[in-house]
Amino acid sequence: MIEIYNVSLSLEGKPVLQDVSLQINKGEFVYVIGKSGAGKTSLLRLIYMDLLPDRGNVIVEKFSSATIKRRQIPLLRRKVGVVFQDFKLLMDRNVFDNVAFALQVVGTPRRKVRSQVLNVLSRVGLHHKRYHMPEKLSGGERQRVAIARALVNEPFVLLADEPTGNLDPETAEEILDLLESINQAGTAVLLATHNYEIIRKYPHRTVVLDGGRLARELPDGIS
Amino acid sequence: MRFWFLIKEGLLGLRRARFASLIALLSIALSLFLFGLFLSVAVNLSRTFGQMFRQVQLEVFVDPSLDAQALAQLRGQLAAHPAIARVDLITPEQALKEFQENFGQDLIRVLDENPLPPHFRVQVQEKYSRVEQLDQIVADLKKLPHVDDVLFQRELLRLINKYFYTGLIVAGLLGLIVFVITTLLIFNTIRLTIYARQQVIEIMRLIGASNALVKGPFIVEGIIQGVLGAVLAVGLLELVKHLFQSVFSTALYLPHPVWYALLATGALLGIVGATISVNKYLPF
Repeated sequence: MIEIYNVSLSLEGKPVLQDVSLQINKGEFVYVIGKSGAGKTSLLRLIYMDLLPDRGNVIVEKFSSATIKRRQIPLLRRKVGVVFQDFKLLMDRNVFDNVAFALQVVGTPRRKVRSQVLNVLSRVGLHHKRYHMPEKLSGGERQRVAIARALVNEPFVLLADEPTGNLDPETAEEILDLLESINQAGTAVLLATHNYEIIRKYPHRTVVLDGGRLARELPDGIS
Repeated sequence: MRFWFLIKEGLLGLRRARFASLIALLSIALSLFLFGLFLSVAVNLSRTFGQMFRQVQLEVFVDPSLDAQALAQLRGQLAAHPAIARVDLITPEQALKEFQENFGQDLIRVLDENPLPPHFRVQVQEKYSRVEQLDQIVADLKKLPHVDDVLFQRELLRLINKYFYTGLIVAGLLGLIVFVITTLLIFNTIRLTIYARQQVIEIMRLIGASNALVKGPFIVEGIIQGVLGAVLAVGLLELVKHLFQSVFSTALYLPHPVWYALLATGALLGIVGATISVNKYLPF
């Protein structure tokens, strides 16, 4: 499903990842932890092929970084949902339109757009705020919108880059509860974080990056 | 669905960034107006000088005592010259009328009689516009009986002969410079509006929009801004044309091709500008 083999990557001449290998299975929940600059974000970007490795290979479903063509990258991204610390919402459109946008760009018919958006907004608990503008929402609600947008195309994996980084501990836990339920419904989750508290509270397989190398792997998280 | 999505997103983009779009539109309109102004000045000058160049007229003065029959015979002899396209007899009455129109003086009141002799106005064929050729024609005509003198605006024509093509080249170069400046201004305007919306591009890429789909709405916006800007520029040019007419009482020649050129330039620069600007945010 996601297979990373001996991947090395340099950005602007500096090595970011070195000889990293990792497999993530269908429906798995995996944390990637490490200090700032350890290479967590770059690892995620390799998976949605925003970056291509200098050496090694990244295989995501049927797509391989070694052979993927430019025009195939959008097709890969429709199978991978991504959420960020800063939510990346379009501030000039409401919750419904933010989520619908992900369906519109892939050419989903209009009637399907409406039902799928309402459905996913119910899943993240924001059905009642569908016409609110993002600026009227709390941080946690904004992250829910971002998660809804990432989920609406029914990806097999959700990549979350520090999704709780801008949230207070209580809201962070609510987001983790949501991600847990998404995972239980069958979507794999790969979550990059340096918030060890949530890993203790929601233990899962954890990989530790240190200076661009895969330092350790903890099958049951940190205790 | 996708086609309408592109159109809708393009229009929404303009509406959402109303102020920026308006500024961009005005800046495009102004750039195209300057370009159009240059085009019309160039068109008008080359038309005026081209006309002088192509339709050289000679004034053939003849013995004032000739009767109508002799004048008709001489007219036939003039028309028989291979370089002559047209011969008109200007009677003393016509000559007087033209004099009054040109100089505003009534000669009869001053002199008690019409001093202007009959003469022929001869139009030379277009291919004979060089001063040397005209000198030869003048020499030929002077050999005809009863021809006293043959005059034309030799000095002016010599200057036009000498500088017309140089002028065309200089105008062409200036036009190129104005066009490059227009292009840069428009590109920069579009670049700034797209720079302000990088996040939309980033999000579209993240959620799996193809590059063509990311570019689409911006290209639609570019075309709308380019064409609307051109329409505004044409409106301004028409205004200038009317002002010119009311101030100088001379019609400014502003042919439709200038409009079409501006509309096409606006649309094309909109498309190319938007494509180049969006491409900057599409790494691969």
